[in-house]
Amino acid sequence: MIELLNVQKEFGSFTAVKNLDLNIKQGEFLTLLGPSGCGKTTTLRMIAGFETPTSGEILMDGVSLLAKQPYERNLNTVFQSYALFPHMTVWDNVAFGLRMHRVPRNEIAQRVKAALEMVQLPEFGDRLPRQLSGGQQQRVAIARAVVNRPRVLLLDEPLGALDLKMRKQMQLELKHLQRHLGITFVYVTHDQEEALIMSDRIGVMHAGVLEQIGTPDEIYERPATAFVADFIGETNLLPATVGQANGSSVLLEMGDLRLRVPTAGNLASGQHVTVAIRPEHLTLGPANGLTRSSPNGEDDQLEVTLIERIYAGPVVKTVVRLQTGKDVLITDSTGRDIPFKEGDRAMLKFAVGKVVILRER
Amino acid sequence: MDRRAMGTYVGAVYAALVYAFLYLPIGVLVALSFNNSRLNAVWQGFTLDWYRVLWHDRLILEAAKNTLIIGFTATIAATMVGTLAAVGMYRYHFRGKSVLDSMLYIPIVIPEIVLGIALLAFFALGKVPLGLWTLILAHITFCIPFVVIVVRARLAGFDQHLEEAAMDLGASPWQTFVKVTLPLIMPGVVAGALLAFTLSIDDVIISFFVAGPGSTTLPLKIYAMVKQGVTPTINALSSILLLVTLLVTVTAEAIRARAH
Repeated sequence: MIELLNVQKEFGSFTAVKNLDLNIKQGEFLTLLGPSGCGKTTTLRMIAGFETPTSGEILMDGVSLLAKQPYERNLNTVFQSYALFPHMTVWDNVAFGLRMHRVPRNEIAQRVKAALEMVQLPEFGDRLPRQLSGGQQQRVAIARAVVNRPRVLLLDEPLGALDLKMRKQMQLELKHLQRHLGITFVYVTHDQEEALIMSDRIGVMHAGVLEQIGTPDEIYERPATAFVADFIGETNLLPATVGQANGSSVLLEMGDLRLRVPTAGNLASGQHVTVAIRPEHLTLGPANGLTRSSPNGEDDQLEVTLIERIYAGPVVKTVVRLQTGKDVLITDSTGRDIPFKEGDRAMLKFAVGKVVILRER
Repeated sequence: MDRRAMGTYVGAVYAALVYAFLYLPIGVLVALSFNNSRLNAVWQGFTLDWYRVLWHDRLILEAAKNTLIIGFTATIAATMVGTLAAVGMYRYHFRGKSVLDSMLYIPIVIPEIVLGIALLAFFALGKVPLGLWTLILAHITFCIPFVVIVVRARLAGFDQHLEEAAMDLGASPWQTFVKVTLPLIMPGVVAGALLAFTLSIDDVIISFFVAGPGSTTLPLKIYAMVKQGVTPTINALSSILLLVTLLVTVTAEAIRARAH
């Protein structure tokens, strides 16, 4: 529905967005996720029309948006600062867009009322924005945008200013609202948990580049690059060497470890790669129970030294050290006790199917 | 008396002296305007005669009318130009902006007499006959930078996302300005206008150069009258000018304070 084709944005000598191709589908909840300065907000602002791409094309339903001013585009924005008009009541704020589009007076009254009811603030029409709490202002900002029935709603870190509890609540409310309205949402955040909870698809951006785009589980389970693996949740990044590759799988060598991992890419024998494995896909076992090397020379276990155990509520984190000196993080559900103490030697077991070979950049 | 009380006492006396230095001459001027004596020196009793004399002096009324015409016209023009300049400088970024920006304030820092002579030379060059119009143009010139400064101070706390939000909701740039930007910077605009008005009604130096025959302003009239000696009429006229300026300034300050 909205297509960004080879979009580039430069501010002086700084390239904010590099060769971005992005296809936003009708009715989806797409999140652009990345650290500050990664280009996600600039991308959103280019779609809204507040920034003009240095090069490239932005299409909506196949028609270029670039010739259109922000007020000619059939989309609305929810700003991080809410940007409610401080000199207007809540009612006038919500009615602003409809008045600008010369909607008949009685229809404005109906739609504003419905929008305020939708965000559960029907009694607040007469208030000024500064008389509302942050969460209420947030809702007014959403009502002010969706009352115009835009085809696309752009949201720039809309929950950034709320406290944690309010944020969790609004995350679900926004997701339900999006389902209910069927409007395409393009959502910008730096909070990976928020992105995983709310999105149909997530585009991870880093230094102006879209590193990976996919569903939350694809992004989490099959990160394409070291940045994505590291940014989303916790992960262990380990160097490995490609042993023999045979079609759909490849043998990875990491010190004593020889893991056969399924792969889709073409990897050459002897190539150095980085692999990612989530802490929850690693388990510890007793060092003496080792049967070294299965008949085909493959092995999913490694001898390690236990460094530290950290209690973190629902999970227990364990740090172990490989023989190479590298530390690896393991998480277990609390209550599944591991019979080791600090300094003990143990066997570290990899869930082979969960090992991801990362693309080099 | 301990040292601290002593210090407070000395401080109070010092402050009283400073304020006396600032306000005593003005107080004397206002008091003498009610003095029932042709001479300024001795208090002879209260009278409103000097104000009555003013009211019946055709030339003074003419000068007052000129002053108000020039004040209002110059204020309106300078406020419009200055506000748009301030908003433009706030909103847009372009090459050479910093140079243009600082050039806006030059009329404030260059000596008034230089600006007066420059304007006179300019009008002479363009063969513009001196009169009400040259006065108005000159007043617009020196009022604009003050309006720009006051409006920009107001814009400093302005969230640019508000303008983007308005345009995002379908407002054209003009609608955005009228419905969002202008109402929010209005306290600054009004304060700038009032400042421009006070500057205009009490200007002497620049007006002196660009005024023509039959286009005397009140300050110029006072200046001319003083050459024949300070009379109680001048005291009365000065008091009125003082009162008007004071009222306008207090109003401007009240608007500014309430907006914060």
